Amino acid sequence: MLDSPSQSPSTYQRPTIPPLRVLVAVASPANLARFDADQAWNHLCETLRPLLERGSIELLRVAPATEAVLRSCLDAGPWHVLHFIGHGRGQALAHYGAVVLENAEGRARGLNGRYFANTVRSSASLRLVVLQNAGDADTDFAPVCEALIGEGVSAAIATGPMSDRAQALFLAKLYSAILLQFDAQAALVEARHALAATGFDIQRLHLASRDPAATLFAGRPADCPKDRDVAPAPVPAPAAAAAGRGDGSAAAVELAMQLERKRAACEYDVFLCHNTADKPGVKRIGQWLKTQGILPWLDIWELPPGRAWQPILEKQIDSISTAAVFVGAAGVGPWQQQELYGFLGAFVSRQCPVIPVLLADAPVAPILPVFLRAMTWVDFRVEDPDPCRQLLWGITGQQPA
Amino acid sequence: MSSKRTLTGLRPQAYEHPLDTKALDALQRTPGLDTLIRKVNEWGYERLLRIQLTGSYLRVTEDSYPDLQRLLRQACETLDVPSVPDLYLAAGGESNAFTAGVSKPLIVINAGAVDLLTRDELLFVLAHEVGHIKSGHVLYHQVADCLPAIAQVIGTATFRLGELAGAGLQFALLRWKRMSEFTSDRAGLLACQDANTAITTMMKLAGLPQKYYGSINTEDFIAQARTFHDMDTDKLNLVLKFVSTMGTTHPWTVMRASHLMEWIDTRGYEKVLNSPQSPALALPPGVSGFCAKCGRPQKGSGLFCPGCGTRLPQAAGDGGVMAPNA
Repeated sequence: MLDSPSQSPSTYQRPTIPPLRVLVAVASPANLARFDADQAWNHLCETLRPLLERGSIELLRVAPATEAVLRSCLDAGPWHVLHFIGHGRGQALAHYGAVVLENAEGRARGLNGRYFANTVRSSASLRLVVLQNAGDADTDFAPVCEALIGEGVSAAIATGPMSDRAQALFLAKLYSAILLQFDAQAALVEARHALAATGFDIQRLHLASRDPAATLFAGRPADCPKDRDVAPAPVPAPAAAAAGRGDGSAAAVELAMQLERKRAACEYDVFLCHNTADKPGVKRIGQWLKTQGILPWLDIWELPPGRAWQPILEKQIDSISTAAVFVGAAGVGPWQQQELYGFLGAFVSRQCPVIPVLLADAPVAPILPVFLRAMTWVDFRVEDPDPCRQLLWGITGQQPA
Repeated sequence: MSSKRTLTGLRPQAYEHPLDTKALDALQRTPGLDTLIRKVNEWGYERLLRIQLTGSYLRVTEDSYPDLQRLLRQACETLDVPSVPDLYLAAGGESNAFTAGVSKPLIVINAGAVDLLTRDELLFVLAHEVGHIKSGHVLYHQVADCLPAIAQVIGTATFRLGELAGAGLQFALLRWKRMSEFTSDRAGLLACQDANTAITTMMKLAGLPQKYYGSINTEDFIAQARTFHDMDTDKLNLVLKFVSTMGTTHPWTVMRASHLMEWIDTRGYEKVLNSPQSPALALPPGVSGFCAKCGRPQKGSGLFCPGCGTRLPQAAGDGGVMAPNA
């Protein structure tokens, strides 16, 4: 194998991130259904531009996408992720799968799952392989994922064919979650949730992992942004710490009772307005707010099944004192627009604050409704000013100590 | 690897290769076949073979070489073959195996195969041989082995006219024997349930040097098989292929890989794995019933079952041929 003596698997230390180093192979052999490899590469770069500009991620393209160049690039690591876009074949019941690279003439050259896995294993730092289907609906990369895991790769994710929009969401959510040291399963949940809203068949997202609950990349380095929208920061003591975990301490009980009293009186502190695609991240922020004694209104916590949701929602829109409008990779959703206009009316009449919140995976230049552009943003893409403190300040109107 | 499915109720017709079926039909229409089978039975060829094998090779049992015995048992269980055949180990460095015996089949595997193949690859090889037994190939294989000697005897008695007839029969037998390998490859895959294993086994059979065993890219071999298959568009190539293989007992390894991958790609393998009892037990056109012993469809008025050699009843109610709903 190609392991260097200093990085044999037994002695290798888990890398710290960022930057997350991603090796990208886009293979479009001349004798298979062609797709524009350059366009696929550009689309990937554009989608991940916020992370690239922050220095959170580094990309290198394997060009041409041959086995020899791939091996050479792997040797020039360290790499954390191999992202493959292209064709393959697979038959799960026959435990057979292959990825298709290019040969020296630009034609198809398949590498069966085990062979491909052995090739990839030459990079000791590599933890994750993403196999993105380039449009051939019959391609099933799941057997290749299983082969990769069998040969020692920590996790492998396979996707079915995606529209450009679905691909953009998938990439933004997945890589943001990885940077926040989510485990493979949780990272995929982020991506699945976002993709469900696009009409993508989420059954075509496959994860194989040696330990789905294990963090892929350990060790948060000092220069990593505090993306607390998806990875809540350590909760300030004392009462807050207990509330989120429900550890039964006196402080936790007191905090829980305080929130319950607010709920009984319908005194919600903040309405969490969001696109469904961003729900997991927004939910985590809501949980964190609870630990700060803030009672948020989030649809999945407050709308009982079997009831008409519009009257309940309208009641909150008329009575709530603050709104936080979250914008992530998916942008502003259709229903979120209606909520926004409702709040706009309330804002005009009651002068309540509406806080635009940019999530960590928000585009570099997010498209916001006109009336929001004049508001001061809370930006989870940056570390300074601390977005958590900013959000608390916006909700309570008091600058945290 | 994940656990393998047991294919309860698996019928050989469910996975029989169409070329096998076609070649068998052609063989059964060849004059003289019934006579030939009768001669082989009369001469006690099978008994002779068993004596020779028992005296020459190492017998595999639950106590001696139990790992091999377990693999054989696994192959039989997966393919739903209730009676586990005897297994013998033979000398020889090549990866090879064969099956003999109709009434009491036995499998012989070379030491080379045991040394060079992985556990799953051995399972594929053993299941391939079990497939020959399940599909009732062994009788005709034996006949093919005896044919040159029999043809000589018949030829002498018939002033060499018999030899001419024997040549036609030999051609039909060898052709069918080659095609029957495709069916048994499918049985091997159904047992190991891993196409990678099946293809690496074939690559080793094709002569892959041991130094490359650690870095086998089956896709290169499959690409070669596709190129080979694509040659069929040229009629001259087709004729050359036909002529090149007509004297051999086994098809080219690349050809076998090509046919096996085609079966997977066209979802045939998946269908059998999901529904091993298909096709439903119904009489196809021209079939008069099924052999009570091996289940092979019977056509015409043959004396013996072409699958297992069992003598067939000539009168209704004799009990040898079962109607589908019997």
